[in-house]
Amino acid sequence: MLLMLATFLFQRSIPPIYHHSEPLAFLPSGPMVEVTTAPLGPISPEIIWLAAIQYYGEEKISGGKFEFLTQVFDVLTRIDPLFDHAYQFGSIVIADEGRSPEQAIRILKRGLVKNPSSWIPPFYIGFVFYIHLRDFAKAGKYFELATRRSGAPEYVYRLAAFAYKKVRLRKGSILIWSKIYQNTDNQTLKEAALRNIRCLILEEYLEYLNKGLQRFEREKGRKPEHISELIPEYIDSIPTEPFGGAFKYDSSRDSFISTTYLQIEKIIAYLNNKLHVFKQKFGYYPERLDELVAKGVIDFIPPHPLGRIYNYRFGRVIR
Amino acid sequence: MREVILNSYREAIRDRVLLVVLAFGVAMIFSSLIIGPLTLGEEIRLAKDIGLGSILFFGLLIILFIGNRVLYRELNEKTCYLILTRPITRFQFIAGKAIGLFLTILVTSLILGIIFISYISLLTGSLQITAFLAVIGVIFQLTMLVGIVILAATFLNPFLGSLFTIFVYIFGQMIPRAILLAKFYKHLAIARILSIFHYIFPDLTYLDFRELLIYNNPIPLERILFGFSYAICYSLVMVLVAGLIFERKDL
Repeated sequence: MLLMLATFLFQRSIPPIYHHSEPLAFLPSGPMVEVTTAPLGPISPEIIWLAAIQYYGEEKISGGKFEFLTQVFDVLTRIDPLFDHAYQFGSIVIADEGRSPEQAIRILKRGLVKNPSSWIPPFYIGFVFYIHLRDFAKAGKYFELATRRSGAPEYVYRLAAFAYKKVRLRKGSILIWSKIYQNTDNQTLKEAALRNIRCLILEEYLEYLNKGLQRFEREKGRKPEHISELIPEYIDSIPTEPFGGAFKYDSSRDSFISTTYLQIEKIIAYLNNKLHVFKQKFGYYPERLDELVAKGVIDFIPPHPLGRIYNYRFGRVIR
Repeated sequence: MREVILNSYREAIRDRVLLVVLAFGVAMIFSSLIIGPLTLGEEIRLAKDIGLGSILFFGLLIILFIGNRVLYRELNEKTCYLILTRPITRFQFIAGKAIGLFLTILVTSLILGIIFISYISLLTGSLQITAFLAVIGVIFQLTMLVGIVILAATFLNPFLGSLFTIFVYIFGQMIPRAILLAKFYKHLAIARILSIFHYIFPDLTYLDFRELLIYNNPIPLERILFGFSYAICYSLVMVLVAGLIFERKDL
């Protein structure tokens, strides 16, 4: 009993391992993984799928760099090349939060060959080209390829036409995200889709307000004192800010801005200041943002007002 | 021979290890209820994969725990001398033991299979016909492993016999993919060597009907029939070799 108590106390005294994601570094990569996981039978794709979700969640909470995100989805789609949800979820998070659209395309292109009856891989290649790389010709080509595969929904045809006609990026993007939102049971994907739709609507509103502002200045020859001066001649009404903030006229920039964007700028400045403090105290920049909390420099990382992950690279948070 | 089969079956079914393994198997099938919500909308897929994997894994455990001891106990406790004095050949004795073990596996896999099919039918709200074929595929996979464990039991002790069976199972699962990998990297000599091993080790992928269960992708009838006949032939050859070894064994 004493020995058990001593073991319990000893284990409690051990500090938690800081880098949760390191075990993924030992995950075999490339075609070798197909051989090594074979003895696990049908359980192997489920283990990797759970590992991928856990890794994604941990990195999201801790503000990590998602450095193994591509690897884990690469492995998953190798051992189960027909797993459409893995291509869908993987390509969105790799391109969006992992900020590696090229890697997402690499995985999807393998799915194009290995999963020849599914419209998902070509559709998401088109998605990455359209939204992240803004290459409309290639996006159109892959959307069209998706339409030729069985089960492709009607909106894929519309998107192919959008891409070829170079219809405004925002309109097509809103359509894609809203379809992803409607057609998935994956809560994380739903949240990502909703966040992106809100961001796009916010940009749409800002463009609308700033166009009205330019017309006002051109015709009146002066700057407005308040946003309400633009109603009803230059804008119909003040739109509701999708993230709960407000639209403000910023005379220094001579444009309308969203208070949500101002808040993001403030938080980023605050985090960069604290990163500087960390560097002075420990002599190096933290590997991940949550190290600021772990080492007591700040109490918590303020949540990103858009629900996104802070883009932390080489000791600086950038927008 | 009928007595040997029944005796071997009765002995195995009474073994407490079997009950423990079965209980774990059932718990594993239902484990997706707990893990399911963590899978981001893939609960049914997880339930299918974990359930099918459990039938295979716990079937393998039963083969390892019980199969290896079936012959060892008879030899160790010298009860086989008594049996062999009756009008029964050594080959019939081995075949009887193999059939008895096969019946045990059949019964346990069917119990787990019925629980699994009922569970996923409840989850999906419709009877999962494809799951029947997937479960039958697993039973045939286990039949091949029964042949291997009986062969191992004729010349190895239970511990080494278990190691041998695990080794054969792992290599049997890896070799088909390893051949593709060797060809992909253009190591043709390695691919040829592996192809020779492919004829010796059991290729369980012929009986893997997961694609049908998870993705509803139809599997050609020829492939299904080939898989079943391959498993039967392979098991028969293993039992035949085991019988030949046992006939020459100095008891």
